[in-house]
Amino acid sequence: MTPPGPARLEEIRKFLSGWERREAPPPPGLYVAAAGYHGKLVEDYCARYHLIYLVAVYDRDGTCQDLYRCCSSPPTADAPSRCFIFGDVEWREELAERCRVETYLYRFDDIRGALKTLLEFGIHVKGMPCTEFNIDVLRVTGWCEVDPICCDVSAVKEKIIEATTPPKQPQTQHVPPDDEEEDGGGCAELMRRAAEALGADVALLRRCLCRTS
Amino acid sequence: MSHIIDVLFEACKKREVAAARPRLCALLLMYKHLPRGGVVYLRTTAYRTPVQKWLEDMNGLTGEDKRGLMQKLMKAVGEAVAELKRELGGVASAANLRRAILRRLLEELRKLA
Repeated sequence: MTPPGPARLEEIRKFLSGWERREAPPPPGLYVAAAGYHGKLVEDYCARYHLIYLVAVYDRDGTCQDLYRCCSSPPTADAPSRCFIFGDVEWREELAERCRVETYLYRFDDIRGALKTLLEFGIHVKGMPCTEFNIDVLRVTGWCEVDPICCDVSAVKEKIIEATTPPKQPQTQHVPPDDEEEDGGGCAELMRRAAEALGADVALLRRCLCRTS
Repeated sequence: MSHIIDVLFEACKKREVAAARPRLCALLLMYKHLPRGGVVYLRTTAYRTPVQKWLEDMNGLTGEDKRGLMQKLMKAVGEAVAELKRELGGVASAANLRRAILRRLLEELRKLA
């Protein structure tokens, strides 16, 4: 839960222009973010700030007169709920005693648009990591294609592990013994000179350079 | 996400991974050490013991390796703590810190994707 600073408050206000504001707890609906908060933290937060809920009301036919009340009516066949909610914390009755609450409602004629708006508010305005959103919401809105890491990090995990595993050298590498050079002693001579220059033992240098695993 | 964090953190227990991705591993360590609630005083030194413990769990490290890796990881922790302090201040709620670390972790993973 991020207490909004002045810059963020301005952003929130801008985002919510055109939304219907109510000084009431959120109506029933489906929450889009999965993050839960500690009870004590909510109390501390409420001592200083309002709780804000955004409610995207799915009203395909434009038949809802009262958006707030519409959330209590049964959902249409093509939607799991009438209303989709984004809030700092899932509303509970006991919060009413401690917290001032504002609910903002907006009518949407398609679910994808409704969910995308809530997602954008959460990610861009409230700064929530995308992984805190319900995976189904991320999928329906197409967010998984825009930012795949939000939905599946297994490919990255493989990459991290692969990138740090040393590549296997071919097993067929032939290491000629000291006295069997095929190039007439050129390699042995080079090894001897390199060992001399480095002040190293020839056999040890050969073993280091020719290690196969 | 928490499952993936555990898997990635396990990967970071490999010396090669920790050396190649110190920022990612440092952020994972910081995430793993978040308290459930309350506030957190953001200090680099708070992570010194967890990093030392983490290095102890790595197999086959010489003293020299440990020193080098410790330096690398603590540098990454220090940078992350400085960034988080700029964003959240010196004292942050565990929930806010969790989100801020998670955002950075996702940024790191995006770079690798």
